[in-house]
Amino acid sequence: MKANRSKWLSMLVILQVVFLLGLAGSYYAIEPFGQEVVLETKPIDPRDIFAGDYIALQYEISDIPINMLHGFDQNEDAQNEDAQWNNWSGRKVYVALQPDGKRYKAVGAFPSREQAESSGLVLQGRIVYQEPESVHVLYGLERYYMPEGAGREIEQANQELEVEVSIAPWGQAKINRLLNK
Amino acid sequence: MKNKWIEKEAYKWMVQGIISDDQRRQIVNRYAGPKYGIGILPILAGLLIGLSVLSFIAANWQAISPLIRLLLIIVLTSGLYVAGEKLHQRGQTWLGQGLVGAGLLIFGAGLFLLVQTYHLMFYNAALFIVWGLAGLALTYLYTSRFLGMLTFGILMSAQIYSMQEYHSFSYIALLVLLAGLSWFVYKQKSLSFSLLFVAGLFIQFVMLLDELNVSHLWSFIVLALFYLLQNALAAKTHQLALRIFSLSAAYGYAIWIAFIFGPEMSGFSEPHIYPYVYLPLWVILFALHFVLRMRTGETVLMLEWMLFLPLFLLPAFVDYAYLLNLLFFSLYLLFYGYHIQSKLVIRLATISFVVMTLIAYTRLTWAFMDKSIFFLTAGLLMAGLSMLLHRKNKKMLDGEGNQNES
Repeated sequence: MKANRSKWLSMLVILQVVFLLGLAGSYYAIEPFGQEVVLETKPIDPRDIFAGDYIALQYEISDIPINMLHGFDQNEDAQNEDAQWNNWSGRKVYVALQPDGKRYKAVGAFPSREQAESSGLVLQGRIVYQEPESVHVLYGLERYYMPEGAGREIEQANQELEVEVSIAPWGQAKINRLLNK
Repeated sequence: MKNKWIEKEAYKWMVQGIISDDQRRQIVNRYAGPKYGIGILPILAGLLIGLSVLSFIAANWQAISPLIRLLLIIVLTSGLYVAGEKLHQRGQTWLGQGLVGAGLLIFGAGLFLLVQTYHLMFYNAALFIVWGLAGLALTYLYTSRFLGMLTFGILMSAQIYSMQEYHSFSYIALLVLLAGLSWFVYKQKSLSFSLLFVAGLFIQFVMLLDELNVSHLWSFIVLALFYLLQNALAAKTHQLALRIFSLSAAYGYAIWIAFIFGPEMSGFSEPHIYPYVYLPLWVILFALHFVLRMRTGETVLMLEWMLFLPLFLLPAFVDYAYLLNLLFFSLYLLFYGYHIQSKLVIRLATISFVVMTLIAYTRLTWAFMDKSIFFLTAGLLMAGLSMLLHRKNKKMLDGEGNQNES
């Protein structure tokens, strides 16, 4: 019984370690397997984008106009305005990107990957809140960790930046570097 | 540390006839170290060193490179598991389980620290579920109530997190809780754990109602189902847990309704109640309750069902109806307390009656006529009852006295 439990426990520990390694590994695999794209940022509020050891970023594609959303269900409870507002918050969204010169721009947003793939390169994100004409999307690319001291320089420069991002085929994305515009 | 193991083993040898009882005692005494005091020092030292390591890591977390962070999490988690298992094997069951539990907590914290370190995006409570599954496996491995409670907490957090972050109900979290933990709770036969588990399930079901866009008033149906589930379970502990929880939750819920429903409001016309499904379902459940109680002959218990009455479907005066219902329930409880001769129930019933009268007072102050009628009724009821119960009480005490004498 005791030997048996030790055996099961070691299997369980191995499983947990493998899971932790997998989480980390999925990040390290983005760059070699992913596709590089350049995204444009926009100035954000609050002005001080430098926060400790990272800078906060917002992209042109962070706000997707409602008319670009396709295939999202409309709320049947139309009388309830609150419900309508929060209808899509928390939903996963697949944003199709198309190159426009050097940079990539959003061309559509869909509730499933298959739908988005027919329209372009797919970046996945999460709708966090809804405004009258657009939805705000988080991609997990909103923070860039800087080597010490570098953040201040960026802050002093123009806040509109270009960011080189790698998008893995399984949907994860990471920032490779900031480009000088 | 070893003496517990030696004690157990020596007992086995004695039972198997290898050594005599006298020899057993000699062996045990030979290995018996100082029992308390010194044994606790290494534990304390370990705890302090562990805390210092943890706080050092926490303070310098930002400066540690991602790969070292990963390594730290892995080493800490597996180290705690292995140390816990070793202690558990030596008979230090509680400390062993404590360390395994700490390993589980570090594993969960590690998951979220990695998410933060690598900016991973998640779209559901998947990480919490993985964490909960690890906890579930450990719970069964050690048949430990402590680890079971920890896992319960993790799986409840999974659901709350899913509702708050993603505005969606996690069916998987509910399924893992139901399929994974209910067997364990069933086997444990602990009233407090069963109560906790049932309460957790109820909270998840209420969230599910919200997700399905069905009125929260359907919670009464859920509670009635919990109440009926008693009949399917054999152990008294489980029956009691289900009965206590469903009745007290329905009781608290009724008070809340009495406060949110104005006198001109009716649930019948409210959206998402679907009264034409609600009522037949309610009747079926009540019929089931009725038949089951008739069969066991516990006809008194039939009255308990009054807490599940869908009074919110009345065309008006819903709040009064609930308050009156709760007053009647208090009277039932008083009667029941005398019936089973339980001082606890009698005390609860008295408190309940007084509290209900007070709530009625705060609710009904604006309508003078209603107030006076209400208090008149309550007063008369109270006077009549106190007389009746006094007589009964005397009889009960006399009975006890006679028993003591004989």
